[in-house]
Amino acid sequence: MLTYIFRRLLLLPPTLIGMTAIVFFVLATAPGGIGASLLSRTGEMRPAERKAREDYLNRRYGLNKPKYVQYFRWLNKVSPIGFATYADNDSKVAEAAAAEAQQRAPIEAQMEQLRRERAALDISREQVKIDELSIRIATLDAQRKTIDLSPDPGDLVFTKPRLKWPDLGDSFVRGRPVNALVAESLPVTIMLEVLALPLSYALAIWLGIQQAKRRGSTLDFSVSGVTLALWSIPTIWVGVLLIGFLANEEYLRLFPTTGLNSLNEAAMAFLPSWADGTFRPGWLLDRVYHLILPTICLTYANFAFLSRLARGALLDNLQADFVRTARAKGLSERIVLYRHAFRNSLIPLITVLVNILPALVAGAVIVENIFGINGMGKLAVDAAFQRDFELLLSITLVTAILQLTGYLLADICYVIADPRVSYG
Amino acid sequence: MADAPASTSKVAEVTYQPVESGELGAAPPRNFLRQVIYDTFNITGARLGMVWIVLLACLGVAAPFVASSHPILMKADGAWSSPMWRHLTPVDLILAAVAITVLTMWLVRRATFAETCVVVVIVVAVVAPASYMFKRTPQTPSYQVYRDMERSSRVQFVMRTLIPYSPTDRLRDIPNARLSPPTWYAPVKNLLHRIVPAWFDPPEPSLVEKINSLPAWSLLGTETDGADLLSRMIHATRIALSIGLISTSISIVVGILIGGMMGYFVGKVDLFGMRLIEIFQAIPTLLVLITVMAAWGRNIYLMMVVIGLLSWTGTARFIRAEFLRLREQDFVHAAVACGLPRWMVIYRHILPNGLTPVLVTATFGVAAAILTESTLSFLGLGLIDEPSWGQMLNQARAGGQGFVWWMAIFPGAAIFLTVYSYALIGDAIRDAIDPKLRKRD
Repeated sequence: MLTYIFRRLLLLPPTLIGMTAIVFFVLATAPGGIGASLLSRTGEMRPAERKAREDYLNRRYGLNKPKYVQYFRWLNKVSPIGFATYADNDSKVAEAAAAEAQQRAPIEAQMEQLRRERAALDISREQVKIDELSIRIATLDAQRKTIDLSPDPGDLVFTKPRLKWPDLGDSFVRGRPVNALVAESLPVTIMLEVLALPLSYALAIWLGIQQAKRRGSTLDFSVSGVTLALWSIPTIWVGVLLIGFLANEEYLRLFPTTGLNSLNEAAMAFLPSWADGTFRPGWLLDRVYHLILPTICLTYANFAFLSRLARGALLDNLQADFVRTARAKGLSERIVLYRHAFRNSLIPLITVLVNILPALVAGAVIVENIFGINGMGKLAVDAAFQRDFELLLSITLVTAILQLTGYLLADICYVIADPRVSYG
Repeated sequence: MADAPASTSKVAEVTYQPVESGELGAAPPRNFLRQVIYDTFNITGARLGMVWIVLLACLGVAAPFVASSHPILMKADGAWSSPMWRHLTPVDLILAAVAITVLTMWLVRRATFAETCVVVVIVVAVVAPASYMFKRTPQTPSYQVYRDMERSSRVQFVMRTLIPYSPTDRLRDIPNARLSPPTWYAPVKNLLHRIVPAWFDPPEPSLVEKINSLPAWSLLGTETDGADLLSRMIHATRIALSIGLISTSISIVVGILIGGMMGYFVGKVDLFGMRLIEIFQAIPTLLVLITVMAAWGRNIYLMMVVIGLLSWTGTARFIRAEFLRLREQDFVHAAVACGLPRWMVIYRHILPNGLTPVLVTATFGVAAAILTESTLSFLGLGLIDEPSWGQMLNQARAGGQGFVWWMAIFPGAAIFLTVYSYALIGDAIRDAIDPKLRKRD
């Protein structure tokens, strides 16, 4: 079993590299590339702000470098194993900058002269000459940009590998480092998913067992039909209907509308209390109360999907020879079901985790958006609207790594549940 | 039989007469695919699902003929005109031509699938360039002009479409049109209030005022901009169905290519392919789609391609398993021994036998693509001009302040029914191809 886990862990780095490459290149090949936030559509950035952003992006990615160099720089920053980078005030960087400036000086002088010539022309009569001069200036500018001596600030120092804390960058729209933003929102999303996933598994297994016990009955068929319909109901619809009918003031006001806690959460005690004859729900019960609707939204679809699988797997196993032997031995139906058939039926449920985790991630995005919960999903959608690409890239990366971790855990559970499996 | 050797067994005395297929209730000969389709649509769920999808396809094709503010035929100031015809786009004409061709071929001439495909391609090749060259559509249609003309009594005869609203007609000439409930809301509520006054309040005067200001019957109400909801929903079927079909086609093609190569050339190709599958499984689809919509812009074709390129792993796994199973079969050895080229062995011998699990993944894939597009539109990151069910569902939240029940129930029900139909059909196909199932239940 340990060799299996070890082999799975060895296969992790190529998957990580491939996945991070695709995630990065989705942004890098977009119009504007990594520096897209510099191309503000409404031109609202002040020159100092724009210069600060440009310097930051240049230092971090290298705006004029080829895309694979940008990718490696980003990977270096984001991974815990990497190389040091040249700082702005490094002596080698200063030397290179000076040599660069020296080599560029004649070209820049030519460009300045052409610009002066162009400014002296009359725009209404000599448009052709102005365009010609602009083209020459642009060609000289391109030539100037090819004189790029390394090392630039932010280049990798390949002789200094080190372990470091992953640096996910700074979010310009919010003015905070992305590490802090992710550290705030990640626990919320993980809490939602850790609540939803085991609950859906437990309910699905319970329902699958009940259906398998009463195979062929009306209950069995009707529940099968209902679970297919339940799986098809879109999460967006359920969320909007639940919030509209159960949490709204116009209809039933059974549940709170938004957030994870009430407004006066800071003044609440943690545990509920019955002081002075009134029942005061503490912070814990308040949190549970706020989490009921989101958890329903996240659980129902996975529960429906898994219960069909659980029923199928249990039915298959209950007809197997070893179960017939167990019954022939005189074991009670309960022991036959829970000690013998149950463990084999878990296997397809574990393998299907590969399909459930992405659905859970998408569900979390929707639920956080509808119920106003400040998790990773809401952060991602806000980042998309504010065109905050550093944040968006980091959120995609963190979510993908979490998904990979989930798959790894599923593999480990699979090995524990089925001792027959071996990788290869 | 006279020439049989003498035997002591009683079995040899039994004689058999050859039976023509079709006699004595024997099933007519069908190839495997036809058998699967026949078995699938014997299941009630699949039939119901197909009814809904065919309804959606008809609505999608007939959308400008069924829901449009432009009247079909109008006589104004003594001159006859057909505003609906004038405002038809080339895409509408192509879709209508294809639909008419398919109906004629299937129902009237009972043609096979291949013949229908060929004729459809010919029809599209003729109609598409002609409509793009000759059909001119006015760029900025004015919807109010017909209602203004009616108000000033300049219209002698008018024949309108079934739902006299266009999806982008924001009813700007009617002051209270935004967010009006359906026209039947007020009378129904009044009736309920008279029957059981304790449970039902009379409808609010503000909502009744909105209903009364609408120019014609509005079956599902209007949305925040004032456009009619039913008309928008009908036009949104085009987006939903086309995204579902095209994304799934792309994912199936990629999945078959990669899975087939992995299953046939086992070894290093298989190892590399498994790493590729794991990489693409690790990518969070919705987040990458959000990133693409934010960075590249909101383009429907881009959305289709990205959804297709991120969802091929399921198909690839199934095709790989089928290829691994089939490549050891005798018929493949025979084909190779005959000297057939490799591509022929793969595409004409192995692949047709391995496609059955792909039918199931394809059907569920279409449902998933429709859900993904609705989710993106719901979050506000979908297409801007085109109507979409998810976007209408988003408007039901009224910016977080209220709840608009007609915008929540109807578009959501449309998404649910579409996904449910595809799920029913997929489930039925799965039951039809699984031989174990017949023995179990």
